[in-house]
Amino acid sequence: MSDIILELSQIEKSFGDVRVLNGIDLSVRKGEFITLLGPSGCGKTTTLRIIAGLETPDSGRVFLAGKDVTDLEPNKRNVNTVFQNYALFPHMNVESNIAYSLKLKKVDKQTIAKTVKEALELVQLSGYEKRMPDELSGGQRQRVAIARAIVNQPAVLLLDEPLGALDLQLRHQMQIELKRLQKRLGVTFIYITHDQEEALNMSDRIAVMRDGKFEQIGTPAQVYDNPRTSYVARFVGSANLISGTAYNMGDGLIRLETDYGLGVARTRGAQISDGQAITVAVRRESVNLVTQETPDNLGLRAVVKEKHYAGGVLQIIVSLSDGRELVCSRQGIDSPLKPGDHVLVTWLPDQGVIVDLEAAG
Amino acid sequence: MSAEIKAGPTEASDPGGVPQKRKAALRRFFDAATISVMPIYAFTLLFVVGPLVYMFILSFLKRAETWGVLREFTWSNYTNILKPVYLKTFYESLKLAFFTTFFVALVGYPFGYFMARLSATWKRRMMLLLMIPFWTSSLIRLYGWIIIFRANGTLDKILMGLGITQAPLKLLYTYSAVVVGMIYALVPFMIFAVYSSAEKLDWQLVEAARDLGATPWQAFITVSFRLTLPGLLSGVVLTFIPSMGLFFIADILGGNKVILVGNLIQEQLMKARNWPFAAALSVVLMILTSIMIALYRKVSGVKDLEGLV
Amino acid sequence: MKKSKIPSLYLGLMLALMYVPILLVIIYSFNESRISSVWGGWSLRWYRDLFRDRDIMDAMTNSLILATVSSLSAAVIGTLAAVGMPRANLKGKGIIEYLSTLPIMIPEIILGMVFLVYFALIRLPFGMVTLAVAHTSFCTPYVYMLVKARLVGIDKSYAEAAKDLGATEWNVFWDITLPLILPAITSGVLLAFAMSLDDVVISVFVTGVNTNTLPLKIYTQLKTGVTPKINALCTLMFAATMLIVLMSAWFAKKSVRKTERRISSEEASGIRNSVGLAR
Repeated sequence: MSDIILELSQIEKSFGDVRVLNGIDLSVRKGEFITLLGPSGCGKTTTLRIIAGLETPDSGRVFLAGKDVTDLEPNKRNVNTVFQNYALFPHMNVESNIAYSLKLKKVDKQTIAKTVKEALELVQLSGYEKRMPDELSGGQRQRVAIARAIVNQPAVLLLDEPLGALDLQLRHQMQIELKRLQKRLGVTFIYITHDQEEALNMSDRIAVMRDGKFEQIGTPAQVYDNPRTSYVARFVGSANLISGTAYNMGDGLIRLETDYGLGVARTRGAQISDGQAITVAVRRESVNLVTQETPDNLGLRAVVKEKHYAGGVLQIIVSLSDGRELVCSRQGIDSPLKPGDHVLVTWLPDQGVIVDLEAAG
Repeated sequence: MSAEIKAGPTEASDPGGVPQKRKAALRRFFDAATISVMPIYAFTLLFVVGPLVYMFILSFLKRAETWGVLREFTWSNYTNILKPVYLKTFYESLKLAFFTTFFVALVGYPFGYFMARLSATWKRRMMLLLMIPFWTSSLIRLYGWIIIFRANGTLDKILMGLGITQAPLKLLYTYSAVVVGMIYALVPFMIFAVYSSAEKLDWQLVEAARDLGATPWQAFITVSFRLTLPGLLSGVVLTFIPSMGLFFIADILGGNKVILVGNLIQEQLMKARNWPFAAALSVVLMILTSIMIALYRKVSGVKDLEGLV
Repeated sequence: MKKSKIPSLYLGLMLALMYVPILLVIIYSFNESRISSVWGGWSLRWYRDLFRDRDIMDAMTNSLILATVSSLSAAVIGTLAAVGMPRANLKGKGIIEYLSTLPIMIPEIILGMVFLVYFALIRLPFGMVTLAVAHTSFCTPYVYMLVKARLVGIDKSYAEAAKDLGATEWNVFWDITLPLILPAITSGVLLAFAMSLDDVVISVFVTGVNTNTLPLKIYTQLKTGVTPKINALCTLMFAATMLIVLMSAWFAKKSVRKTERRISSEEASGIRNSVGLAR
């Protein structure tokens, strides 16, 4: 248990009548890169601010390295933040910004100079000491903000959508760099984003948030391949959701009966009773479209509606008999299918994940 | 997500020993904040509220025979205002204020409007060019007009030099001179008000109107003018209110020919020494002013006057 | 749509009209002739006379003391109030805030009149003291409003970032807030100084028998009869005002210089290169 650096226990927070956090629990290990992923308004920034001490929870406790810090002022916590808009002090140059926390601690001048120099080297901004924040580009500011936050050697570094203001290409490069930096420093990162790709690329673990609660906490692979809820399936993997009635077929397989045809899924240890209403999530790239009849009469009857390319990926949208749409994506190759074709939608048993089991039970 | 850190005494429910220290720290800080607003509380109560309340009370007191006031209630200061002489002064003041405001709007609106259409660099230059006369003592500017208006002054020299007039016009100490002085003193307020409103105008709306078939004039009336109306109204209030009280302009440019409420108050205060009556006049002037501002808010739906600061 | 020349012409003409009276005063201040409507050639004699005039020099001293005292008092009261108001735990903050700005909202003549009767009531000796109080009353709202506007414009995250880095409330005030509002305070003080230096209406009412300020001196002369010295005095006052306003504008501009993100394409590609080198 000693490697747990941060623990949140039953955190609740409301602003006026609006309940923002709804009993949050989280344990973060030392050196971990954990991402809070969710749409804006889900409470991720509030969670971060509570960890930083900029916000006090209505109830629940925050433990940092085993110590209750819930009522400690931000300046008394060994936690630092990289703010969304960087919040570099506009009247101080790069050097003074980075040295600020060390000066407050009354560190001697030589140590400060040395630490600032090292921090700038680390973020590859050596030589920028005397620049003012408004003389820097967005990416440079972002690096200064990181340097400023790490000179204090915080136990946990909080990053609030730090790449949000950068353009796409720069963002990809910064993702790699941030991850590398985190490995090198061995500091625990708690990272906020609403971009699932960013979360999947960088994190050791992802905590998917919705309406002030965690929907699922797990490694990127777990969250992506094994979504627990339809929300996670849709938000992280943009998965197709298919509802129907389940019948056990033995060997951990179930048959899914729907209005449009039959599907399959694995129970993965869950107890499913015959006739139970379930939802199965199937990722877009796992969807197969076939034109011939399949053995066992598997497949959902659908009609091809449109085809288009999105970022080098071919997307085929098919519609079921009641008008609901499913999306199938294919890497780069054109398909002979054309709008109006009748197809069967199938997937392998391993690709069908039963979601929302807890909510149903 | 950007809710404020509500700094209030909400942590009363906190149990345990750690909050104790924090509470003490918070209290110390609140004290600092409270102490820092003490000067403005004291100053405002003592030197703004106090005087205004006293003016109100004074307006209901009787004037002593020779000096000072008696502590006796009377309506007579207000009934006094209803005397034809004083009513006429109010009428004259209002008339001049209307005249002034009308001309100020006529001159100032296009200025503010055109200014808002300049490039950013020219806007900044124009602002500075306006700031300088605006902040120059009104006395200096009035003095300039005396030089222009007086017999054989600049204007006479120009007109006579061009052969338009033969003899000096004797413009100084006339009603027109007062109106010109008032316009000159007040036009910057109108310009700033209109400008701040026109600056916010999205010129694409005008272009859209033109694109949809409006003539330049139609586009102006239906789009630009409608959207800058709050600025114009604000400018009207900002010129109308002071124009009732600028006694020294009437004093200097009008000789003793033009008597305004402002002059009347000053005279009652400094010469006739009838302070209760001066207070009553001021109360009425304050009420007129407040009505103007209330009307403006009602018509425009805006809470603050545009371009005030 | 072709660009019309009318707007520029109009703006130019109106500006010229605004400056002509001021320019005339300046030009005549260099007029050798005693009779001001006659041009007698260039001369500095009225400036010489001006500095020999004890009365005017006394008035100038008074004016400068007054402007300094009232603008600095306004700076202290206004700044403390602007900083403290949002966090102070007091009743009636909104009302006090509104009332404190009344001195620049109501007609000057009413302000002058209420001060006159009120100072007589509380027996404040008429003279520099009453003048200073009255001037402070209309200077304070300027400082207050300018500083308040600047405070609103300061991103809340600066204070949060400072706290996050270990700053106490005091550190935040001294290291972050004060440096950021300093230009606004300076700008407000300069404007207040100019206002005080130029005020006539209120001063007329609250001055003492033997206390003169420069505007009061000019006012009496304009009413009774002008000596050419006044031209010189007006010119000097104009120069002073102009200097102060320009300085104030400079500080105000400095005050709004925000940290907006302006990332040009060049800069962006520069970063990409530096990131690329790191790979």
